Amino acid sequence: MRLPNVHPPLHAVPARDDAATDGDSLSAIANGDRAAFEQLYRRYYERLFRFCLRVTGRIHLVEDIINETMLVVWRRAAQYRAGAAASTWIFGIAYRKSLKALKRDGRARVPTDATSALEPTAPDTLDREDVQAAIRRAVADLPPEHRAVVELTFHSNCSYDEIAQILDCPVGTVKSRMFNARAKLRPLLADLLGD
Amino acid sequence: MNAFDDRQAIRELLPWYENGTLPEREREAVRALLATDLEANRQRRELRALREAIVDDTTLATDMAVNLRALQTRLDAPVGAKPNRLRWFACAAALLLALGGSTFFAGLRVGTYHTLSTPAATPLVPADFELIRVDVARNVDATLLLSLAGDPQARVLLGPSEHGVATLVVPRDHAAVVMARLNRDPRLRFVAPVPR
Repeated sequence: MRLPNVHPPLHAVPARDDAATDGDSLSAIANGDRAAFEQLYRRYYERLFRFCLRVTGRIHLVEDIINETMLVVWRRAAQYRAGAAASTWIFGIAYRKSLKALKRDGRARVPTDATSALEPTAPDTLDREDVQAAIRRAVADLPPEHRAVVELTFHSNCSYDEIAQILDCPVGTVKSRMFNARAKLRPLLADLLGD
Repeated sequence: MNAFDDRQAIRELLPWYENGTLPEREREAVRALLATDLEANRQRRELRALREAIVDDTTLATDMAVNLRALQTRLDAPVGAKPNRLRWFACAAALLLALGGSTFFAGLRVGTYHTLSTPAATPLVPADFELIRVDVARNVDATLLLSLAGDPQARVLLGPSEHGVATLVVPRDHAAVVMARLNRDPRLRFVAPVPR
């Protein structure tokens, strides 16, 4: 979903160097440190926003999902174990909150300019930008579990192990979801490549 | 696993080869496949096109500060407090209590009631007493019936009704004597024990 520019651009890709900082922040949060919580909130806000928006496809849900996610982080920071990446833990919470929000909101897709079904336009008449827009709409029409795999792979640069931890599923499921997502997008991608 | 399956399994790693997160051993396998396999190269081009199409650097129309302030008001709420659920639970409990209470007290208001095996019109009688049904003539009332029974412990339980039916209660030990006495009187048309 493309939205008007109101803030300076932020990086969509997680900064892996922040892993130690995140772990320290969670330790401080577990001791009730509000300043550490605010810093973590600011560090994760945009990444969570993009992730939740892509998983749900519904912008009106996203801010609530982020706050529900971060409320869990605040309350359960003591349960975080340093063995796993903090980002994996937080994104896992956000993913589950996103699915719950979708369930509450009704799982059927709400057509918007960003998520409406593909127009039955003949591929010959589409230029490159049209095809790219069609691909974005096709991704938005994937099931949320598949969208999450695509989002975490291409936007958050997560490994398949990390994705499996976030989505709480086996690695094989991650690979099969990616396979299925690519299969659905293949005709459009072939158009884009001129195959 | 044959060579085709091997190649297919390696092609499935391409998304993570492209985002640079594959372990070294798998990265080498993908690199070797790309050197020889046209299909893997085609899929790699597809993935790059996909990434280019969906990676979106557009900034977001959202006010983080406002959302953070909204969340901060909730941080001190007691953990696990779910007022809505508790309210629903309390309402359900109150409703159940009211229904149960009204059913219970309705029973008390009505008074004694009986199961289907005990006729509602028949008061409970101790086990060591016998019920005797008597059909009487029109001019026999309860007082006369008791005098005809001739037993100080006998009681008229029901009747005589407009159809001349009455029920006596007598101690079981005296029942045979009382029935014999009643059977001798011509004003009583029928005397018999009531099965219990």
